[in-house]
Amino acid sequence: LPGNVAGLVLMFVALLSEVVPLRLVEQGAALLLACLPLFFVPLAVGLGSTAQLTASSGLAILLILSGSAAVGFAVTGRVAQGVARSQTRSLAATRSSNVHVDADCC
Amino acid sequence: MSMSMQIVVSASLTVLAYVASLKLHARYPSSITAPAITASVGIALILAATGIGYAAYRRGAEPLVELLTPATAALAIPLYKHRRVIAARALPALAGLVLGTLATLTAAIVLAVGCELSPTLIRSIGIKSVTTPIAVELAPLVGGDPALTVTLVVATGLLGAMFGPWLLNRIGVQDPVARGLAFGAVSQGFGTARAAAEGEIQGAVAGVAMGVAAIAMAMVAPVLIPRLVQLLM
Repeated sequence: LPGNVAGLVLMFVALLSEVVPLRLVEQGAALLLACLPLFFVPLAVGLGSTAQLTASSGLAILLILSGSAAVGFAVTGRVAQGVARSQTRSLAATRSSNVHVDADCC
Repeated sequence: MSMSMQIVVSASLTVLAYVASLKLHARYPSSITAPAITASVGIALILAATGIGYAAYRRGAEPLVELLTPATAALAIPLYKHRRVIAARALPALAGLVLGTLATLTAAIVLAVGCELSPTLIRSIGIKSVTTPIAVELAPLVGGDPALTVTLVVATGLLGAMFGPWLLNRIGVQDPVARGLAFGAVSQGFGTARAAAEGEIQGAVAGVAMGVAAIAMAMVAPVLIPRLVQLLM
């Protein structure tokens, strides 16, 4: 288990069991989360410097990564939302028009 | 340059570029101007112009990157605050996570085989949606290359953070739990950061989805990827 995920689980358990009170960590966590994208910046800078590694098939790789990520986003999002909606039909009123069209087709 | 000097230079460069990017994003709000992206491009250009190598910059920036660990763990706080809303969605979340992770993996391998990439590249692409620390361990087990895998993971994270919100809007996914799941399962850390910027529920769910997807992939990928490649080639 990577440290970040282990830390998330441990912190969650500590909050649930009230070993750590919420008010003690709430502000610090909000600050860290607000800065989350900043901590990724050095990793993203490295992308350019390793780009030559894959330069020969760079365009193909970009298409593959974009295509499969799009499939992943669509399937994960639609399945989770679809199952949630079939669970609670009362939410039907908040349906967006394009989801509605799709549901009618099926 | 001494180590402490490297840290001062890298950290101040990163923070200044990030603050400038936040201002840019506030003025021109768009996925393309997402602060992590414009800041990275800016820093890459500055490194190239000044002759500071990436290796030196990255060594100095290590303390900033180290903060990723507590920042991800901090997602436990919104997770705890919204635990009832999230628990009520456990079943749909699990369904979305399992199907979405398998769909991402299959689409990536089918496309990579279709493009006739090298076997190592195909196998590395198969695990590009797994969070970096697990992906690096997983790479040799599936016949991929660790260094190459890191590049692919970062690229996938950036692509998802940039275009994920647009795609989810386009296909009508508004449910915060479903959005968070997609960000975490497909674009790991970068996606989680983007999800956290969207809302507390999205961020918390993304953090959990990233962890669960990575653990599940660690168990199935060493068996699934070689079989899938064999089947398609």
